[in-house]
Amino acid sequence: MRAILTKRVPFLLLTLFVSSVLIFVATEILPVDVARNMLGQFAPQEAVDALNERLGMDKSPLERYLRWLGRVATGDFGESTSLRSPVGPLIIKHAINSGILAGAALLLIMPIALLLGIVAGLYPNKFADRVISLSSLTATSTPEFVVGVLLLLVFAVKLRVLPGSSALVVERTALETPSKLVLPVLTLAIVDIGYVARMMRASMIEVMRSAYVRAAKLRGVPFHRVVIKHALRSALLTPVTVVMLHINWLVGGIVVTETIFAYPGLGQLMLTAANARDVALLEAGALFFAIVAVLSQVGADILYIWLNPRARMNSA
Amino acid sequence: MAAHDYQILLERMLRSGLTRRSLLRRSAGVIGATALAGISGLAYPPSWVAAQTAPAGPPKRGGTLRYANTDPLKPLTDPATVDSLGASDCVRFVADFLTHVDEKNLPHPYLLESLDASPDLKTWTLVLRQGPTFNTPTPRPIDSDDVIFNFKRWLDPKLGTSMTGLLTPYLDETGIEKVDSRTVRLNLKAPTNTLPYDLYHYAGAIVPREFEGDFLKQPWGTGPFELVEYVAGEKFTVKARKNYWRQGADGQPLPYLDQVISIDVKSQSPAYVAGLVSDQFDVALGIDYSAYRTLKEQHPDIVLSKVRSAGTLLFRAHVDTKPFDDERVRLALKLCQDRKQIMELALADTAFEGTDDYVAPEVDPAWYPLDPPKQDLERARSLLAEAGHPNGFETEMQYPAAPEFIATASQVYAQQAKQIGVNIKLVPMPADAYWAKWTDWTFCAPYWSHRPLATMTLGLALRSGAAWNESHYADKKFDALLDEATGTVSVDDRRNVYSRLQPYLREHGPFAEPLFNYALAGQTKRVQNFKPTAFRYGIFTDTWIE
Repeated sequence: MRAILTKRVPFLLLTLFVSSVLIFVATEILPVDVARNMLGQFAPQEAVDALNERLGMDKSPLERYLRWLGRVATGDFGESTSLRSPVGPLIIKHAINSGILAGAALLLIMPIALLLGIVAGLYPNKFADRVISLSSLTATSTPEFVVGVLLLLVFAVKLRVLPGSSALVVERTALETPSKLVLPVLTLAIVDIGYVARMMRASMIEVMRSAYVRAAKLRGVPFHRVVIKHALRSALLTPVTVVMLHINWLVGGIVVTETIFAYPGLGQLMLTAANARDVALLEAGALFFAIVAVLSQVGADILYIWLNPRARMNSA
Repeated sequence: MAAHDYQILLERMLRSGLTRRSLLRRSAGVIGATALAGISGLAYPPSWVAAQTAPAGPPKRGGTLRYANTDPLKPLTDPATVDSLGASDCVRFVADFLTHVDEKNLPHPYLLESLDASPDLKTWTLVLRQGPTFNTPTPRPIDSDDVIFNFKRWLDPKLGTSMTGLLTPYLDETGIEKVDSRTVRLNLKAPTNTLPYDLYHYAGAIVPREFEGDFLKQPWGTGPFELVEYVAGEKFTVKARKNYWRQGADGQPLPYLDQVISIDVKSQSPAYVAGLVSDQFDVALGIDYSAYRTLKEQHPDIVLSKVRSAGTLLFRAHVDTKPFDDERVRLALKLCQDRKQIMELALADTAFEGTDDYVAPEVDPAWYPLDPPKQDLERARSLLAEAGHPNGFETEMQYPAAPEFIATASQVYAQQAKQIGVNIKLVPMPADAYWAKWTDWTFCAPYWSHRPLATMTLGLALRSGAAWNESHYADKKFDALLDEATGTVSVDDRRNVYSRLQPYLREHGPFAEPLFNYALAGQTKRVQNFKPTAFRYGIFTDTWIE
């Protein structure tokens, strides 16, 4: 574990540094008058110029980058120009919302997808496998906006059993009204379950054909013990690692799902920031995603080593 | 009350079927200022709202109304500097306006008891109503010093309010005169008939003179609600005030509702359509065409309204940049429009034909009845040839990618322009990026929101040197016609001016105008007595829920 962290922490810092440069350069390209954005189109030019000066927008890009980096290092991400409030709390608040949605989605996706993948992998080309494979493929290849709108039509519009909008009206988080999470979670689950199930199936088939599983069978070990004791742990390696890397997508990349259901998560916040060319918010959001990406990568590595004794030996 | 104004009011009221007695009752109780009725006129039957239900029964008190705001809830600091409908809605709940413009585009005094103009429209007398009080830490009645405080703020260019652009053409600070504690006189430097409407502009909420500039810290006004919270980009909540100055039908102070919550739905139609249908929202304002069509075809239980508005799409050019500096080129670009095709593909029956003159038929009461211009490709080609472009030319046109109908209309228009040899390279832009530099684009597709009188838009957009003169148009003859129209109180006289102004703009103006659109809204049946307007404001003072 220590070895992983020793290896990964410098990598994490390097990734964050490179990301910060890229993010800064990308946002520099945007033709934005930050002060004009903040003060509005009717503000007198003198006020705009004064604010630009106060914000240091009259300095060179390098100077501004270093100032920005210095502020970020002390935890000050600046102020959002489109929402006129400190960026740090905004990111945290929306990240919590996205985290709740992602967590709920993962809780649904993992057991179902793994179970389906195991069944399909244990009985390849049999009826159950064909049904699971076909429905997985169909679900995976259907875009989120189609799945989301279909679910809305059925459950919110026709049957009227679930809320059609997941906007937080009086709630602080969606946990106060869990029914608002159902449709977005289902949308994510339908799209993702097929993907993970197919991966689990392939992994299971491969493991079941491996020499040590065959040996166990020949030794007369009961089938269920072969599966649970010998095959499952190895078969989980690939899907679990991939799912860990999915966390980044679930936390920040579910713009479509959040938008369809008006759910106030990070994806929607970033979309708003991009539309409003809110540089400070975009920079902080992108940096946050970079951190989540690197941390989930580290998490995936740790999990991989825990599941795989050979890797554990190598890393020791 | 000037005699001729009274005559105008009398004539119009009688024409609309009212008796002299009801006229007197109305002029005393509602209109207050005859000038307002004279300006607005009642020339059209009140068929502005295509679908609206009468209240199901007597008003009920209590409950929370939740409405989807399709306009962003931008950060809110000073009511005078708001530049979005969403944020202005929040202010409107808490702070009243001097006037009110109703769903038929008629102005009424609101915080004012009366608003009278001199015959030459250069002296306006504002008399405050007795009763409204500010919800300041120590509540106190509004007085003329508060009104003067607000006028001075609006005229201060350093504040950065859109009110400055509306008022400065005819008012400066020296023209504001305090007559007594309830009366303010405005001595204008130029006559205007738009004052009652300008005072209802979304940045014109009246704050007390103790106000220091941050509305979230000092949410003070005389309005029917009090601010609970405002979260930019997400929502705001207001709760009923206990001692509002207006009374409901049950003799108790308005509003009927306990609470109103507005949710920023980021213009996403799936969210508000599903939200309306599944009872997450009670009202959705400013809905788009696709949502309107879906709700109309599939959800008869949602009450839809379609209000004719002067909101308009333009294809406009800088008149000081080649090749658009040649009037013949601009006219050719108007004549190539097939309006019906553009409307059909962009907005179908939620739009009506544009006029190339900014005057929305049957919205501005003084509209002079001219048929919309027809497509004339032959004349367009010959105009281009005369201007030295026998084979047409190539140009770029920027347009905002949202709302969607602008993109569709721009694409159809580009195809139509090809027929006269003008090859328009379309440059779609994110809406915010487009609007950040909207006056800079040489040739582009701006949208102008609803203003009840065409003179209001024309004064902002086309008068020589005006703040929002995005086409750089400067035409003395047009300016003179506009001055004449703006300084005319009688609708018939103004129509007379429009009979010269409209054809002039159609020939010489710097823009093609394919369409006007309707303001669309949806509400559930439990919402009673809500009257959507072309302004798309969320006003629920007289609304209740079943």
